[in-house]
Amino acid sequence: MGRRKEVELADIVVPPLGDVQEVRVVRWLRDVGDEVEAGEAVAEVEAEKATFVIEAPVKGKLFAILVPEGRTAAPGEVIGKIAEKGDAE
Amino acid sequence: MRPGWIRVEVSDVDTVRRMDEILSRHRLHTVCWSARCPNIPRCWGASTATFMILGDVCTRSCRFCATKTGWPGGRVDPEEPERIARAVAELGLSYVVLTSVDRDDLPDGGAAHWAWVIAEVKRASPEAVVEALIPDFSGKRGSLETVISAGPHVVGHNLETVRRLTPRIRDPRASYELSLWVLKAVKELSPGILTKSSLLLGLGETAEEVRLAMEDLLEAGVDILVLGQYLRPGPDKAPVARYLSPEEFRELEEEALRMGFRAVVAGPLARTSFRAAEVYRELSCG
Repeated sequence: MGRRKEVELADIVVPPLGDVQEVRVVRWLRDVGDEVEAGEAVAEVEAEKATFVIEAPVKGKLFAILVPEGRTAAPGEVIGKIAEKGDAE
Repeated sequence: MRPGWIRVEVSDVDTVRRMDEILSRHRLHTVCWSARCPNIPRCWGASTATFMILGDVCTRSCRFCATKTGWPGGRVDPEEPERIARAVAELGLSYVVLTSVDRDDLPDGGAAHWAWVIAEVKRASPEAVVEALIPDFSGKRGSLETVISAGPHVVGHNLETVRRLTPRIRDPRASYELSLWVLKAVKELSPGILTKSSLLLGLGETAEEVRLAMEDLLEAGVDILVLGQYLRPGPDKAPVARYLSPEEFRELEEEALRMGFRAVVAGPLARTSFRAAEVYRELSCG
């Protein structure tokens, strides 16, 4: 008998970027509901010195965009969530 | 407007965060952090970092650099050498890059502390290669002797920019001639040591001025040249005059190799410690 499927939510995080207080989310490269592969570029954030391309930490569906384009986030902040479907069989 | 090639892919956030946790736990400073280096996700993701010793407050204020300026009044943390050595061992680093703030408040510019850190790292990780990216020690030969006697494998000192722009970009206590003197003196004191220097490009220098600076560095016996794009760390720092294309960096790399440097690392995001271990291996095996 199959058990209930559990949905794990993985965080999309702005990494530590040094003595940087905030970054701006320039672009989301995927929409909520899109399937993404682990390691696929999902967002671009911009600091004073460079643009950083944030990759999906796991394979799944982009579940939520917590910081939309044009808004700022701090290093370490969760800017989105990916729903990773885990089947606990 | 910043060009599209100043981009860094962030693939392993967990390793970057683990590195951040280890460095914080050992209460260590890195130039990566202070300089807001865009290579943090790449280097820390590969578990490498450039440790900044003698605190995080620099007695000088250069217009390209984001490190805090102040006057630490002669204070030095005596536990720092051991903490660095422990972190290097915990991270299992085989190549360690050390640098420091300028410490004009100390009579020896911090040279004794430098030697102590190198010795501790070598004691705790005897196989590790140590690269020391040193300040100018205000031209004190005795200070250079102290650092070199600790036995670093590579000694770097950055010229940073061309002669004409030096007074505008670097702190008034730094000078183009003094930096060349440091590089020359290191070679005189220890001819077998590999020396290294970096230029930040895009500050308003001309191609001819870059060529002259490269000639001066060769004349000073420098083995390894690093050429990278200047990126403004904050709004109060020198503006970027121009972004050089990756193609221009490739051409400069070829030119520098033709001129006689033993190794050249050039690219928009190239920094002194960038590809450092790889270059050292190439040179020491060749």
